[in-house]
Amino acid sequence: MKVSFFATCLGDQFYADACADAVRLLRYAGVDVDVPQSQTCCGQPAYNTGRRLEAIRMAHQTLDTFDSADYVVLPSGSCAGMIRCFYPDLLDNELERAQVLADRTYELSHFLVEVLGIQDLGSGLKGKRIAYHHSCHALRELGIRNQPISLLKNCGAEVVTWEADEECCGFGGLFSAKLPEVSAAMADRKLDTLSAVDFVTSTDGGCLLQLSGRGNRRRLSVQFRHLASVLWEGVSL
Amino acid sequence: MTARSSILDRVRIALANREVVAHPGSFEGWRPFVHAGNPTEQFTEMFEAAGGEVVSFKTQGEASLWVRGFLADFNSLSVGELARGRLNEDAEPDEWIEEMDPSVVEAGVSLAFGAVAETGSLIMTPQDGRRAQLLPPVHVVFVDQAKIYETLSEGLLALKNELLPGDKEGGELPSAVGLHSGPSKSADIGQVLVKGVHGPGRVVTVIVESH
Amino acid sequence: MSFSGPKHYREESAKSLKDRPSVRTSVTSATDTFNANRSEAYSQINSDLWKDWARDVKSHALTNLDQYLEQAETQLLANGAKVHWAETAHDALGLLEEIVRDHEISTAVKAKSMLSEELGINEHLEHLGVHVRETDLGEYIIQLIGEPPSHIVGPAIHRSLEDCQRLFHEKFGTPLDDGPDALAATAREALREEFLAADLGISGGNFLVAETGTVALIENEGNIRLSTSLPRVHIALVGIEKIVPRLEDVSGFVQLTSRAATGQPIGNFFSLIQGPKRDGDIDGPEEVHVILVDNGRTRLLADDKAWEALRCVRCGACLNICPVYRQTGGHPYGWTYSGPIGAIIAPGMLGLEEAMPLPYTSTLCGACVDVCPVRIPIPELLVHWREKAVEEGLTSAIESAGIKAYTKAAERPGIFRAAGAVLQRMPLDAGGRALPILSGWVKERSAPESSAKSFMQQWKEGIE
Repeated sequence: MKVSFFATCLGDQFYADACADAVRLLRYAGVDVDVPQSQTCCGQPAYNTGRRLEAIRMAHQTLDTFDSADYVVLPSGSCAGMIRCFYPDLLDNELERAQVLADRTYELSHFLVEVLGIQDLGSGLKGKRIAYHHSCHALRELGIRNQPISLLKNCGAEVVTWEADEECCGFGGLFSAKLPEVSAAMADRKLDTLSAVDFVTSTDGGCLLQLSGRGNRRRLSVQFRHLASVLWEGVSL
Repeated sequence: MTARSSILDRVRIALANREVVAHPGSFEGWRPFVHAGNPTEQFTEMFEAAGGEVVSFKTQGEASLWVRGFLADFNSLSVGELARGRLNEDAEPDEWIEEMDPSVVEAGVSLAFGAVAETGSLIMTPQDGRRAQLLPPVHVVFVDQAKIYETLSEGLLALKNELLPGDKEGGELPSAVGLHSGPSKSADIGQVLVKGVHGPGRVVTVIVESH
Repeated sequence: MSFSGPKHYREESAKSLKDRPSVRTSVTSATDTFNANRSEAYSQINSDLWKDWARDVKSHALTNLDQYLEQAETQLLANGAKVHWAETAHDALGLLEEIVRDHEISTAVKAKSMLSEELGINEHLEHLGVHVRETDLGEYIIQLIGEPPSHIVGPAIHRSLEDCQRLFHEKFGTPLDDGPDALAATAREALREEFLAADLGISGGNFLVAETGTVALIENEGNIRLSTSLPRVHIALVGIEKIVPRLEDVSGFVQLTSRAATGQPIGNFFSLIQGPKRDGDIDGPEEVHVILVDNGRTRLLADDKAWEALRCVRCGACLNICPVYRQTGGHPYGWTYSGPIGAIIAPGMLGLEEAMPLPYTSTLCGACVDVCPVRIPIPELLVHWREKAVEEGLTSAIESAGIKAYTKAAERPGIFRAAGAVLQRMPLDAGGRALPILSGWVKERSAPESSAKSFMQQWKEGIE
């Protein structure tokens, strides 16, 4: 099986090691990975701020890049969601191609569980107390809820209950920079309801940047790690 | 051009190219579980869950006797005409009830048009007086078991179609109908539930099983 | 007590968070309760079927609105009610003034009505020398304080028990440690006199039934029943979008709205008002006036996407679940309607320029979609208004230029990577203060750290 990996603009720049771990995970799962070099950005920041024309251009770029892929896997619920849920509408003059791409696009943990049928990666997370943050796009656009959690648990982790686990972290792309005070208050809501854990993890780099950025500013000791890296740690070799 | 014609014109222009959506049909209150009991049991459960009280009697005579006993604890009463009729049925007429203004009494007594089981609501029409249904801190309401409707839709349909006492022609709603589903309550002060602001803080439903 | 306008959202929200942290606590706590109750209430029914049904009835009513408005008017007139039409707030206030003068009104009791807030009627009535008393307990509290409502259903949720204790102590001399029951008893006594003395009762309308000419009102306290039964004149202000075609439709809407708003199977008191008292009625108003209000609703109706927002039943569920709203309550939005619903109707009703930046006061998290009882596609409509804002040149020029440049680079992978490499070597904390987009970020958070080697770099070098 061959999978095309889309690192995402944010992943390439800020979560590069997690992206590398995602590749390792996919290979470990028995899949061939290629990385089309013309990939850049899925266009979500433009789409979300109402810049439809720019979003369409970036969607085209992405469509052309992954046109011949059997599967496209991303270390991001929001970018996968963008492609799956919004490309057909954005690229309505290339509806067929867009729909084909949308149907073949997956967030990493979703792909592992639903397409590859993997439940058990290893026991490398034994003894770890983890809080799982549900990224809004992964949860509500892609319906990803149990897959990451069951993978974590099957690696031996204790995934703690967290009152605010499904609440938005306040990133929202440019929202975080344009309405920083409210955005920080939303991050605080998440951070203040956390119990003592070894780290917090999520499918999405944007959420992790938001929470870790706020956590750091407040000098909190809680750590934040991308799900791809955490699951790779779960694979005890 | 009047405001009326201007508004209607603007509506028509706005809708000019809009696809019309069909009415989906009757509301059927779809629920995953059907209530196990009969309408009377369901009404009682709902009404009590909302903080109301429910008593039930086989005959009007028994009910009237109980209510008179209940009311004996209150110094001032306001009793609606239809409720008074029920209180006097199969019992000695009521010289003991001195009619007073509902704004100064301790308890009010009314006859309900009917009730709704699925929502635990009493259907109150204006004949017995709205003030008596709202101003006194305690409200006692007679309702016939036969007029406890299973669903709110049924209750509203019955209201629309039945002849009410005093109606010259049937099939018309009265000036105002109130559905009362328990004692008055509010959580506006620090999210804590308080009762009796501003309507009655205590409501007692008296079900008459056969009338 | 009027609203400051949406344009100050950022300042006002920042101020609220910094200077009045108790608002965030109170609002979070109140909405937690609302959410738990609503969730439980939805789980007791087939909520998907109810919401689909409600969406379709409302869409049907809205796409046939002119006919239903005419039918409602005919029925109300047959019921003996008087019907007036108001295109603007100004019209509505004029009609109110006429009725007040014709009937020599000097005191009025008001049931909670968001439309009446929108129109600013309290201020106008006071100008005319009419004493206006809010009778909903939450509205009463904020009237005494002198501030606008913070939430569609619970106007005073931003106020804690301590705030109320202090307020009542100031106004009535009650002990500072009076609990909720005692405070409520004080309010009941004070308002009782006002109910009995008032010449005029003013209400809104949750639904307007076209078939029977009925104004339907949901409440828990009984103040609406009292305000619409005791005074000799009743005025109902009803937005034209409140139309519901048939009486039996109301059975679905009252139950769904109650569950969505407070988690109750039905509001404690549900009034169905057809008109004034009839021969044979012991009490009731001598005159009932229904004022049908447009005030921007037809403008919203004309928008080919956002018209769906007119299905709103004002349950407040979207406010309760919105993680942005919950940080500050409604005041920073600067208008009667706040939270997600406020953000999508303001551009239609006030015009997009005046409504800015409300369509941007959201992360598009989608939590509201799950809870809306009439399935308004809120995030879609937010993006719709954002697209319009960009088209009309209402967004930051710097931001537009930045995104255009970014897009150009994204179409040229080589350039994109090179730009990324530059970013990698830039300490973002320092650069953050210079780059406008990043300055917002670093104000509240540590700047993100670029990975030592980008992924594409690592891939090129080979990943083991």
